[in-house]
Amino acid sequence: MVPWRLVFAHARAQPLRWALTAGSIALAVFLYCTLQTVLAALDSLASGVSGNRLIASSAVSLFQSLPLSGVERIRAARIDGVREVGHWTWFGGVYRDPKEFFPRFGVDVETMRRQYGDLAPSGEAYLLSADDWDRFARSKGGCVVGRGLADRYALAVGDPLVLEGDIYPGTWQFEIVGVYASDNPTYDEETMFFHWSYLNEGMGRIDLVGTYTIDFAPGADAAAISAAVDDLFRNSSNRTLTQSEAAFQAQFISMWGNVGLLFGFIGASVIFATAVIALNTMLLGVRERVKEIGVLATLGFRRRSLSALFLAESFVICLGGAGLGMLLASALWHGQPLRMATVIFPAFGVPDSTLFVALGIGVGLALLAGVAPAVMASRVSIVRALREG
Amino acid sequence: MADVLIAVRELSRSYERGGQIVRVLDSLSMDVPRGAFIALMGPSGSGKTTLLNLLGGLDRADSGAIVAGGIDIVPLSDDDLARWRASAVGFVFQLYNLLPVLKAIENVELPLQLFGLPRRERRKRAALALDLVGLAHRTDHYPRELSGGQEQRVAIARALVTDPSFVLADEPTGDLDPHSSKEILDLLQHLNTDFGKTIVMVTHSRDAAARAQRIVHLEDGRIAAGGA
Ligand SMILES: Nc1ncnc2c1ncn2[C@@H]1O[C@H](COP(=O)(O)OP(=O)(O)O)[C@@H](O)[C@H]1O
Ligand SMILES: [Mg+2]
Repeated sequence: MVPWRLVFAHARAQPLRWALTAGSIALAVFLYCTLQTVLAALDSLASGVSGNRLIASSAVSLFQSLPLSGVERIRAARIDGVREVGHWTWFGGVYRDPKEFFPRFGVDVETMRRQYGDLAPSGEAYLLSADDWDRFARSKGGCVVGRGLADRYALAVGDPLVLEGDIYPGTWQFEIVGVYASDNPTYDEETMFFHWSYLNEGMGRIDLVGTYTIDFAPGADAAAISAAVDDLFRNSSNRTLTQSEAAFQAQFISMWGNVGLLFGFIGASVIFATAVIALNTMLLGVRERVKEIGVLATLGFRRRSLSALFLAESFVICLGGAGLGMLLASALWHGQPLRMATVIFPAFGVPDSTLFVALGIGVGLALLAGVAPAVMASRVSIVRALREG
Repeated sequence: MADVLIAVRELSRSYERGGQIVRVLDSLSMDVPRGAFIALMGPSGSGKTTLLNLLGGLDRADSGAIVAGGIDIVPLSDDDLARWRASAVGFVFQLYNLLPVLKAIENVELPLQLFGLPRRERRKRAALALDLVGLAHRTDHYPRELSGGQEQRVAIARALVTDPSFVLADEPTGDLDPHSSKEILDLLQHLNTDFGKTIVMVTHSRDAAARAQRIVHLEDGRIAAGGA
């Protein structure tokens, strides 16, 4: 038996107090949802990778180049299970404005097509028609861009695309020959690919690439292959670290530090602070309303109704706040691509599981802030309450 | 013998204050006949409020019996006592004790929530009660927007809305000017004579007490005069 009218009358009488308390909960829950969404997006980056691919990068540093000759060396070693060896090279550079960032890679188009394109035996990561692949392969200064990128800058096939190099100095002219799509969250639609050979020629044939991409047959021993690859370069000045594509992706993510733990800590701290605020508001309410409790008891409200009144208020404030925070997060992060520094989350949306936990947090806060006041309300002595001012 | 609504027998109540036990009510006995209007008088601190609280089931006696409608309410559980208060007793206080966050009509409606009545029915009855106390035109006013006399009339409407047989009033005119006092006393008398409500009213005022059929004097926790 909850006198709901009374609950809302108090909200009406003290809108600021209610709004501030619910607002702080809304903010905390919004923050929680956002952090979890970032974590889920980071996870999803690595979740769609091919299970049949290894990436070899420099053992010294992720940013250290590898010699092109390594590609031939791996092919020539005829390691059991290896099917295809390609390479990717990070270009860097500036398009229009340094703030306008998107990733650019120089690739060997023919092998890329067999590893990620329509000729990939494990299915295509980047969706581009056979004609477009052909055209891309034939063009020297051609490039393909993701659909998101094309939308962002209103780019179309036939348009020029000019980059100002930094790692590779100079002005680089490209022509868009295709726009790819992707339906795999790991492979965003925000990247530009061009011929590594075009870059290499412009640089006077320095013959350096970023990473080797090594596809192997299903069922092959990935650990044995990566050991064999690293063995090939063990005594060279370009030692490699060969790992699964998932592990390679996770490396970028770990550049963010131990985000999971950090985010968890931030979220928990904020929610704890909010719980203290909510509890304080509710306790203040009981203390201010001893007289009201006495009057309600006089009228015949039972002790458990008095408890229920304060619990109900706590639920209205805490669940209202949590709901608002969830709504805000869902409205802002609804599956659109999000660019954060060099990482692009193709689909940035609040996972259902996060919303579910957020609801749980709302209930938890309501109980935390409501139980003590509810118990206090049920213990008030009627006679003493009525004698008070 | 007249029909007795409440029979009080050997009622005692002590409070502890500063490590000392103060016997506020000392083996007090009295009868409240059905339909009576009793004024309870006595010096300050003589136990009038304590007695009223016990009669209304707000407080617990240390010993003795309060028999209302054939049952002794002293040993009732908290919940049973609350149920009994809700249906049988209406309270009116010196300082009105309206809930400031509720409008007049919402204050009056509040006790009806305990009876599972539909909202529309609650509204209707609350409006009737407000009409009865002459405040039909103030239903949507908050207590702070009303005069003391008007607040007390809303409080009387709230005490009446559940149609209790028994109304307890603790210095209902103690905080009012003579004009408002007269209005409140008129109203209580009207309830007693025309609606048959049994009323026990604590008062310090001789004029107020003169409205009652009987005056009971309390002194040192006992009835000094008028208890028979
Ligand atoms: N809850 C309580 N705790 C301690 N003493 C109380 C309490 N309630 C009443 N008293 C004491 O009991 C005595 C009678 O109080 P009360 O019934 O309020 O008197 P009256 O209403 O006649 O002025 C007073 O001395 C008062 O201080
Ligand atoms: Mg008193």
